[in-house]
Amino acid sequence: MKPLAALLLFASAALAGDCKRDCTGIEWTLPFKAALEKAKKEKRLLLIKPIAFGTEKNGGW
Amino acid sequence: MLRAGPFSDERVRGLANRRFVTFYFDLSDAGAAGDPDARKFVTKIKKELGGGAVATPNLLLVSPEGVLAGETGNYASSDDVYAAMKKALKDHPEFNAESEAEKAEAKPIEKARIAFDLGKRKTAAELLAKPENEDEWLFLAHIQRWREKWDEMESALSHVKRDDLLDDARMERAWKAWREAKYEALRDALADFPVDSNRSTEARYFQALARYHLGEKKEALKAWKDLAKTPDEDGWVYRADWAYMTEKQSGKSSFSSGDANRSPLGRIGYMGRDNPDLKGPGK
Repeated sequence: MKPLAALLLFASAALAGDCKRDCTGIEWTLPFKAALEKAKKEKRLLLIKPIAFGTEKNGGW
Repeated sequence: MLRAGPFSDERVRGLANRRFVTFYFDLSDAGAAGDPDARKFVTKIKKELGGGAVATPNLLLVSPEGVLAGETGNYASSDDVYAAMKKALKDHPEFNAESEAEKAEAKPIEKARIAFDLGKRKTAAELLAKPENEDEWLFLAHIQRWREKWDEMESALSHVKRDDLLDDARMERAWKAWREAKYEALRDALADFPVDSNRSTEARYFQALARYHLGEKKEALKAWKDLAKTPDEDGWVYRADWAYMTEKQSGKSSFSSGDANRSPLGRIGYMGRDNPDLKGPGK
């Protein structure tokens, strides 16, 4: 695979919206731009969980 | 731990979905949940999260303009997370207004659901003062269970006869046994619970919990392990994984991704807090 193609694939995988959602019933809004827009429109606070130890595409966090 | 604990708590979930816009992200842009826009927004508020090695970040409650309205530690209890959410809304009532959809809602059961999600359980019960069908009776019983008004719960459940609601009624009654720490009653109440029920994972979790408290730890751990391996993940599956690992990792203080003793869900462990159910109902 050419390096450029590999880089583009990685960039795609890094979008939060691609990460498997959890199944707690919390209605997550991803990515952040969509969450911020929704909070402004609906006049709501954001509940944000930053994660520091790495996330996996299968939803691990 | 947040996912198995506070985020699976019905009170936290209800209030979060009614009054907050919920979002998670990886502080590293390279992580699967990386989001550079979120990182820039959050590190303006919490500059200490911009470094290379940071402590486990708090849960943040933030206005869209970037004003911090509240926060709790990553390992906070469900009660603490719920309290922080309520306080943030009390301190910032401009973010706590009824939505247009809520204002337009006319059905008593839906109005009761809104009140219940907002933590107004007495109001929710009053909105269902005259239930007109079995779904309303069941939800009234659910509200009274949370209020621990056991006589009122049983009175409401006495009206629930429909076949498709019997598992729900059974599970609500089992909660009384749990809250009163009557473990034999809890175990027996959930014996042979239908596996295709919408309350199946909850029932399996509590039946294992009853066995744990009755001294049948080996059987309880097997039941939690089996439950955590079910393909139908939900909050009870996460809580079962947490219960299993609380027992298995007892006394362990460090975790490694190279650790072969992962949880049934593949986690390397649960830092911070043990699953409180292993100590009892915690009145």
